[in-house]
Amino acid sequence: MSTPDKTVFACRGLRAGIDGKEIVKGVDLEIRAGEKHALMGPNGSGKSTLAAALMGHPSYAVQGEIWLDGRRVDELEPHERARLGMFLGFQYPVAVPGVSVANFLRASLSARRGQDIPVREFRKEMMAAFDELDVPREFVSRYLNDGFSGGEKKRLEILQMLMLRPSFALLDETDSGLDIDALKVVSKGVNTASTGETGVLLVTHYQRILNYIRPDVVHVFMDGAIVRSGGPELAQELEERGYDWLGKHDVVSEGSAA
Amino acid sequence: MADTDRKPDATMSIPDEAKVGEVSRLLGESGDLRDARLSAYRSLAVATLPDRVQHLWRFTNPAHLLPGDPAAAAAAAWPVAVAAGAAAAARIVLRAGTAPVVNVSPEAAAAGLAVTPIVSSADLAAHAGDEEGAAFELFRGLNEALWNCGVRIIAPRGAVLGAPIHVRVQAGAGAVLPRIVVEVGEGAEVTLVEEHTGGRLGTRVVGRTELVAAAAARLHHVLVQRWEDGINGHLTARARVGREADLLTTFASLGGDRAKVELLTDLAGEGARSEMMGIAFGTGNQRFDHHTRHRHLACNTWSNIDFKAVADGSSRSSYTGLIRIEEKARASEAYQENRNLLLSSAGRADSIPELEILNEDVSCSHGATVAPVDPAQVFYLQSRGLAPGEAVRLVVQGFLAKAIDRLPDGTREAVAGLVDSRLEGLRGRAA
Amino acid sequence: MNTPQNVLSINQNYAERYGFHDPEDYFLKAPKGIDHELVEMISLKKGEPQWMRDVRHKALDVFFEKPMPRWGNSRLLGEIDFDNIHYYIKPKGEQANNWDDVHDDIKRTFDRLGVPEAERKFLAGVTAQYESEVVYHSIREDLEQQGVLFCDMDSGLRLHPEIVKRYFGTIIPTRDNKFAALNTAAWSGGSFIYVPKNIRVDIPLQAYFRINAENMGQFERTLIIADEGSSVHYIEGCTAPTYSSDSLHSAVVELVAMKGAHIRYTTIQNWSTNVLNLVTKRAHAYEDAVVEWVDGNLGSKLTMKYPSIVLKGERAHGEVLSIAFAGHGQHQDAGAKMVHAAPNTTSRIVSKSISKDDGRSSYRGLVKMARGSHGCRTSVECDALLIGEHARSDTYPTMDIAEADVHVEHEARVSKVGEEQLFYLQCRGLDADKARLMIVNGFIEPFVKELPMEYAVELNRLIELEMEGSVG
Repeated sequence: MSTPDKTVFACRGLRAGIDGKEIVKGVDLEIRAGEKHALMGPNGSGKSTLAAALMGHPSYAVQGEIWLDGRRVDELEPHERARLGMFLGFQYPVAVPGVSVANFLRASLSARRGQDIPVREFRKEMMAAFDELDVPREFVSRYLNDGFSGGEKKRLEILQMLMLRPSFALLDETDSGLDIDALKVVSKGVNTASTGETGVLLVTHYQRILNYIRPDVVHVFMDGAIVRSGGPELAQELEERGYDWLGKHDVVSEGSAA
Repeated sequence: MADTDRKPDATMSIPDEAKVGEVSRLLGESGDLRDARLSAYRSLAVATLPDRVQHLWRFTNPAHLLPGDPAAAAAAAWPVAVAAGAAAAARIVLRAGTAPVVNVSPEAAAAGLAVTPIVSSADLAAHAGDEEGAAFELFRGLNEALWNCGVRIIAPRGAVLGAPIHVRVQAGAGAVLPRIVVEVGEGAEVTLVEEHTGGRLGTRVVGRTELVAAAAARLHHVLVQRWEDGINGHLTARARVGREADLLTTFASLGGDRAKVELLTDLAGEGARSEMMGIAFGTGNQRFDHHTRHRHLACNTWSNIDFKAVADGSSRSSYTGLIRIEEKARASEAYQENRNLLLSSAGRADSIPELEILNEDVSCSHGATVAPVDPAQVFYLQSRGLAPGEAVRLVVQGFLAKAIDRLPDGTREAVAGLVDSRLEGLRGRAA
Repeated sequence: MNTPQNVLSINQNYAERYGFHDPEDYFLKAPKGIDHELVEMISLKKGEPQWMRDVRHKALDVFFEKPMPRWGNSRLLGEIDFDNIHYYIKPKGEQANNWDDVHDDIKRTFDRLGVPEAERKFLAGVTAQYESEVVYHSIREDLEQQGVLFCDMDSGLRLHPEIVKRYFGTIIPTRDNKFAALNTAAWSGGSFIYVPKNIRVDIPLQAYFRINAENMGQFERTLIIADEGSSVHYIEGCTAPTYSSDSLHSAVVELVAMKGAHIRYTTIQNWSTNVLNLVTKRAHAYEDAVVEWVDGNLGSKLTMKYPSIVLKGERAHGEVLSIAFAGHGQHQDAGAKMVHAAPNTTSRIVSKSISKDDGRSSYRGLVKMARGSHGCRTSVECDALLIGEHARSDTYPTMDIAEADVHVEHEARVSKVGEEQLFYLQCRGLDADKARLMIVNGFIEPFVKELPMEYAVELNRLIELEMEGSVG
């Protein structure tokens, strides 16, 4: 059951810089419940900076407004944004040795729900999620991202997305480093985890993943700004023609509606 | 801890005060310099040999390194030909009891390079007062009081020298105590090759090189020790690296009987960097004792030391390395690696890498290994047709390659050649 | 076993020399400081055999003669006033401790850790007896049936003198260091364990089981002998903060693992911060034996402790797994010593330390490969985590290698809590403090997972308490 008119995520005039250098140069975006937006751009365009800035990474100086479920969150700490329903799927999930996946998931889930979840109830939920995404059970006792292959890390990110049920999921190059089989598995996971209530922003360089996760809107991101927006066919065009044809200052928006 | 120095080595004593005057007269010095020497000698007054419990002197008996008579210079000053070869900004030869023989290229002179004898105590001011620590006092004091040949090298601000400065310390019979003072001005770029050669059974060397790299300077200090057999020597290189300056230290220890090298680096200015790569190759009964110390005294400083030692025959390589990051040296990084390869059943290696970290905002690691040649590597090479001795030779060359590659042209070939000739001996050996 | 004794001290009847006859009279006067009279009285009071009395006297002479170690925290060591310490029983007056007087912090910790009532009073020094008789008795019966000897050291000497005499002081000789000598002169309490051939003791034996204040003292002497093929796990100390009125603790622990035997010795020390804790612990591991030291240092003002293993028989294996937590005003100077004295022996040292506020954690270690140690392998891994601007970490490892066909590896890392890790956890809803705590718990996990469950839970909770209010 989706509520198509509900905006789950919006940002206005978003700028982000580091060490005195501006990388994201003014982004406006609005994503409604159930929508999947793809943000595509060449390397170095600032896509990952945008994702980090939206989540509140302390290294970046950020200006502009960020809205989550109708509430302004740009002044909030990352963990506060997470608890309110923003989810960042990392491109390079960092390892935290010695912390088991189970412990970590339980802590995250408890934070999201605002109360400690009893162990038994948690285990049931966790195993259900594992089964749904076909993640091997032995992951439970492995240490978080420690010694994981690229594919394993991405699968765990999506498993977290499934369990945490965010309103807005920001997936930063979820496809990077994956072979075709891993890509299919991860994509299936994203589709399973995105309900009619979730808004998804899929940041990617390659069109390939969009064969499996069909976007409603595609934005092209170059040199820190959205230069063009369109329907799914825009992704195909980029695949065929690359990014160069757009040019850096070619800001033409064809509307953001699906 | 068993003292391995069982050879019947003559342990000399600390020369007495009269020698200070003798050396000074031999070099024809001003009263001012003589007074500086005497003052240094008197601070040696409580001159007892350093405590051997401390790691710094655990592996070497300091008594074996004391110089004999610094004033008994080789009277017959044999003619020194300044060697031809790779282009050099300057060529300098130091011998005990004589003034330095200096030849500066026109290009270097035009760039402002100044090479002079040490004539006044002001010439020694750059490092005066720098605290080193009690364990270093004896040999510092000995050199400061009794150095018997010296040179001062100044590259002024902005001077970019296109070729290295070559200093050769030529040991003869008796004791040679060289003193080399180097000042690299702001933004200047200098490569200094310091080579220790010569000597014979009974020669003692107590050398000290003091380097200051001013802000944004780039200095490459190359220390090559290739003494003849039978020499015991102690070399110190003390460097202060200024703000945003870059020091690359490469060293190769190959000769002598007992050689101790102390490389002391202070990262004194913000953004200072020190990279150090060195090798030691021991055969027969050689004893190498290397000590490196990196002190991070300012924020955003970086150091990396990579020391590789090969011990063949009954030789022994000992390494003590300290990285100390002071509380105020935030956002600093320091890395240290010591790898030891034992080629024979009687080779030995000791490694004491130490860390003292006084603030949390650092990234710091060290690693040390001691192992024989990996039989898997030898087998692989044999399966490609190499005889076992050949295979081991290749493995050792590979082990030392990275450090040797960092040496400047001319020096690199010389050191690689010396290493190769040592490895020749391995050809006939079984794995 | 003992080196030839000084002629003057053999069979000297010190009691007569100094005119004392009744130990009770003597102790009522409650002297401080240590001398031959006191040593004589301690031994007489315990009813010890003459040979032990002689050992004590000789050790006292060694203690007086030996200098202080020149490394470690020389400032704090230099502050020890040996003449101002009680070396044996304290007068009643000084021992009295009211529960109301116990510091609120300690009481809060007990609460958070869920320490049972009876235990709290004991740990806080309020009562002298730990009431766990029931549990103790039933375990004791099982052990007796298997022929396992487990009692306090005083009883061990009294009931099994021939075993004690055979091993006492052979692993850590009196002359080893100043504090080992002090312990040998003044020891009281500690554990004595003997496990017969091929007996595997399934439950961990805990020091609690022979507890009363007199036995859990400042100069504990522990001796554990695991005969061929046997195995035993011994646990001493506890995670909860333990109050001691004694400012100097100097224990000696000797372990012997005979051929094929397995000894695991777990210590978690959380002494109150008035204590200087200087411990000498060593094991001899024979052919195919395994010895593991699992060492947790949480409390005390200064701890100097380097569990060591001499691998004396072929294919023996030694492990030291240690963590240290140095908070405000603390110095944990800990490490390990491995001596490979036989071919094909292996060892592993893993040391993890956390320094917080102005705490200082030092790793001091020695790996020695003696002549003849062909085919031996060792690896050392030291990890230090610094939290706070003034925290300090030192690493002082020594590798002394006298054979060529060995493999030695040593690695150390020092860092603060990773920024990217913090951000990742925060992105999953954990606030900064919770994120930091999770990372720190992950850091010590390799140690925690070696502990029995109840200790692991307690330790995690204790770390949480220590981390509270940590600098952001």
